[in-house]
Amino acid sequence: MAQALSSPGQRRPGPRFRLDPMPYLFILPAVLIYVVFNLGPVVASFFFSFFKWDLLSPTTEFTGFDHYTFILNDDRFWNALGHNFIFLGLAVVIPVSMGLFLAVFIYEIRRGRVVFRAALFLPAIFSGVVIAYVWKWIYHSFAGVLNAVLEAVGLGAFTQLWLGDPNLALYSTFVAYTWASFGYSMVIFLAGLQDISTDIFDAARVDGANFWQKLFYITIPCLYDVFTFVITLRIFTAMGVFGVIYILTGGGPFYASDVIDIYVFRMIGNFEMGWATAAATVNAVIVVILSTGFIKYREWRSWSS
Amino acid sequence: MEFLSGNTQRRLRSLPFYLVLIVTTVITLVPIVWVFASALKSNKEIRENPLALPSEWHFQNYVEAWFGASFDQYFFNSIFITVTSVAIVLFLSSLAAYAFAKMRFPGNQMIFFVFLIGMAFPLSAKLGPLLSLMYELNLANSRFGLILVYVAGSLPFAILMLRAFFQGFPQELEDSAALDGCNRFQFYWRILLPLSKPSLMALGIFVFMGTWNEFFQALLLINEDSKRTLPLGLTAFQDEYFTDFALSFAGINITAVPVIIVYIMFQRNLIEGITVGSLK
Amino acid sequence: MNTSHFRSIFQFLTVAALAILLAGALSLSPALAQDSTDILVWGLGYASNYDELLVERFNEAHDDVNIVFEDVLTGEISENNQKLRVAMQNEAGPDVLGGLDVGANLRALVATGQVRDLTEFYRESGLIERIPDNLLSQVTIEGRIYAIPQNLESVGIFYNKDAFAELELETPATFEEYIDVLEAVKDAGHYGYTMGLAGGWPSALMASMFMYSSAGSEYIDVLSGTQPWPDCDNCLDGLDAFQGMVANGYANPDPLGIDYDQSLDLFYQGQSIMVLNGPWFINDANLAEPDFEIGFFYLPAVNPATDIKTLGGIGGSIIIAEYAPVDAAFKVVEWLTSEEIAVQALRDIAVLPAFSIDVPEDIPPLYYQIASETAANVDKIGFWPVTYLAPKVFGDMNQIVQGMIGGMLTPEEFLDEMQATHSAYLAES
Repeated sequence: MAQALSSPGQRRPGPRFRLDPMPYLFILPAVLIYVVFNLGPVVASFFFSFFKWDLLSPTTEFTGFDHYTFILNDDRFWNALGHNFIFLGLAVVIPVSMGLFLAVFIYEIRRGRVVFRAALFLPAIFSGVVIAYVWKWIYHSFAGVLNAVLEAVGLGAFTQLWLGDPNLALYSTFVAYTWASFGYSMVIFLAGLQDISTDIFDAARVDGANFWQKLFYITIPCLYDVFTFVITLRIFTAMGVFGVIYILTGGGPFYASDVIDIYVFRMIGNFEMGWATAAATVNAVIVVILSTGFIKYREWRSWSS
Repeated sequence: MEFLSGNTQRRLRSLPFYLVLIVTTVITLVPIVWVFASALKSNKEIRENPLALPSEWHFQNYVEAWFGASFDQYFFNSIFITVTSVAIVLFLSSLAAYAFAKMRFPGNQMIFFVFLIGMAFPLSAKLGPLLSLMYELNLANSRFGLILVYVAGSLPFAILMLRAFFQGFPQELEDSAALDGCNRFQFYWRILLPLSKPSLMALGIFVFMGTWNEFFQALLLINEDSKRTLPLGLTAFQDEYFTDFALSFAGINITAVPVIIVYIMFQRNLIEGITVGSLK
Repeated sequence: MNTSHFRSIFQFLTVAALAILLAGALSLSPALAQDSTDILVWGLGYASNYDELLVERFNEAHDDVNIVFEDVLTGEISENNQKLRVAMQNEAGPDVLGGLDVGANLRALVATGQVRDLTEFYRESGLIERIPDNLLSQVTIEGRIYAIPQNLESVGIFYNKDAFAELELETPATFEEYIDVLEAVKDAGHYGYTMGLAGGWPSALMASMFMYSSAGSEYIDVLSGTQPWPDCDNCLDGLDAFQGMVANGYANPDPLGIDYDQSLDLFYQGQSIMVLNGPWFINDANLAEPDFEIGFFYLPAVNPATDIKTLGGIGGSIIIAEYAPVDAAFKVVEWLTSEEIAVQALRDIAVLPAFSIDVPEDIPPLYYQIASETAANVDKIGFWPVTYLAPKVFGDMNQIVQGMIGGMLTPEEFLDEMQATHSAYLAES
């Protein structure tokens, strides 16, 4: 090994190509663990979606696109996927804009920046399980705090069956998700704001720009790349939302808050690996297309303007 | 005089910002405070007056949850799994990130891209085969197996972040180390790592949080009660004790408090971990 | 923290990680030989705290066999079944398991060759004479016996005796009388039907109970899992009655938003005074310590002409894994099926064994009532239909029942949905 340890600083020009094994030794352990326990299963999942396979019996049988045909004809699959998209649509708007405004407000004040940032980020550090149980108690229809508060302030007419009403269940889980995620967007925006040169804001103030003008003409354009990142993050989390819904509603009532990962988990529980892997693959493809497509579009737009 | 009035003006201007921030902060924190308060109440009090503060403090709720419902065991498992995962992730990702950032070798870009792809897939995309693989390798229902899965899950982000950081290191540093007779591993171990302390801390805290909170894969891979992590233990606990309101709140708190403590201690590092990874 | 501190921490972490890697690798090597044989058990068929007590007692009394107890099972039936089947397939599951749902589960395990054939054990141990034929037939697949029915349970209504006395109510004998009781309870401002369908099995249990009580054995044929789900017109009366529990205001509010445990809380607090449940509920209720006495009656059949008295059957069965050390496993099973343990379990936690015993009279009256009524009806209630649902159907049934109770599906549409789910499953298997 010793003879391989040449310094990368001394780059020897020469026609003789010699493969340096050192870099490969550096990346090997990471690659090994990553391929075996992360990428490998993803590829295998794609592969198995073309086979009849129940996780139990070793026999497999090639079924072609049968599982995809079933999934794409299953109303419950589209129902779940639709909910993911509703989640995504709301997640791109609500936690992101909350994060943006709170970051701007924190940036504008002088005292207590650290305190507000720390306090507002707090919910984002909890496990989905903790978040779900906290909100399960908040939403509890007759021992819960939300309905109790509404009664106490004289808004008794607005008490709801937050998790039991099929028209509300999905949105109730979304509120819990938002509570736990706007802090993320906020700290990222705040870091982005602090990277912007203060000269620009000073100049704007001298020119007498108001809050909204600064927001739309300086802040948002300057945070272009930050927006791309924050929204991409929302694509990942909204399309892969699981823990909060699993514990709050289990996808119910009557599939009213079903999402793809719960649909897949239910199928794994039923040993329908063919359908489960097919549905998971479809979702993975959607996420990859959405996220890379979005990033490429943003790059193209920033380049073309 | 003029300076003062300018100051007052600025204060007046930032008043609405403070107002919005205070209101949002209160709304955000109320659920957390409420859960903590409820864990100190008696069952009767929670039922009859969910909004009031505890009239007397029932600390025995915590004692019962800790000893009566094996939260001590869950806690140990979580610590063990999380700390080991963080250590392995830091070691392996810094090694790899160093190679990706500083060495030229065929396949550098491509292999790095293969790591990046791993961040895009939803968890569900690997669950089925992962489960059967873990049984095949005799690693199912094992803390050690769960650690490997967590490490594999954290590597892409860790490598992405550290690579960006290492790229900022001046080449001269490495060259002069080479002149002093340092080989590349020695350079990595003696110079690069100590200089990267802040980034490694930030990454470590970030990975700590993610691993400590993970639920989906633990649910699938861990069977035995004595091997459950805190989030998993909390769901089993809720199954058994949901009708005991006070104990249920205490269980939620025991799961949440360690992250709150780590957060308070390392807040700066954690937020740096999130933002550095995102802005580079 | 300066640089050298940091480096030593980092070195420590690295060494620790390597040590753990090594320890993990070592733990994969086969355990050293021991004098006694270890038998891995996930559950003995009772509540987990009682299982642990039994394991302790067994290990004290035996030198040559040692039970290793892994507490795996939770309240989520589908999670349990999934873990069990995957683990057994990989020979990492329990050697002996009590409390298994027979039906679809047992059939699947037998089909993949995971479960030991117990036919010879039955003959040699004399167990075959102690188990009624109709129970035995459920654990017999193609002439061979694969499991030992362990306990017998039936579903009925547990009620708040004090509240009944206060409202001067009698236990009903017909469905009409039952409705009268519900009306009276409602007028008194209480809930008569406790319902928390947000998760898991209660929805399948309740819907089955009502279909069963109007269609009788016709419903059982529906559940065999190998036939398409038939129209089951006679199920409709039962489903109407089930839906009526909510539509007529007998049930607690928010039946779809609260789960089983939350709904039971209503009963323990005295807001709700009747709950449809099985005998496992007694152990729960004892732990909750309500300040009233609990009584029990069977839900009168919706259709009095039906041939079935109540839903119920083998609550759980014992199996031995194919890979288990045979002699030691038999020893555990023999001990578990002994009269002494069975009577003790009945006395302690009201679990009635499936192998016939004489119900002792010196047990709490509620236990005695349930045990003797169940024992007397063993030929009518020997079948637990819910466990015969194909996994796919069971997994979706909870949601579909929610649809009907929430008024999104009529009973006819409910049956259609079940039928569609069932035929999708048949097409796949």
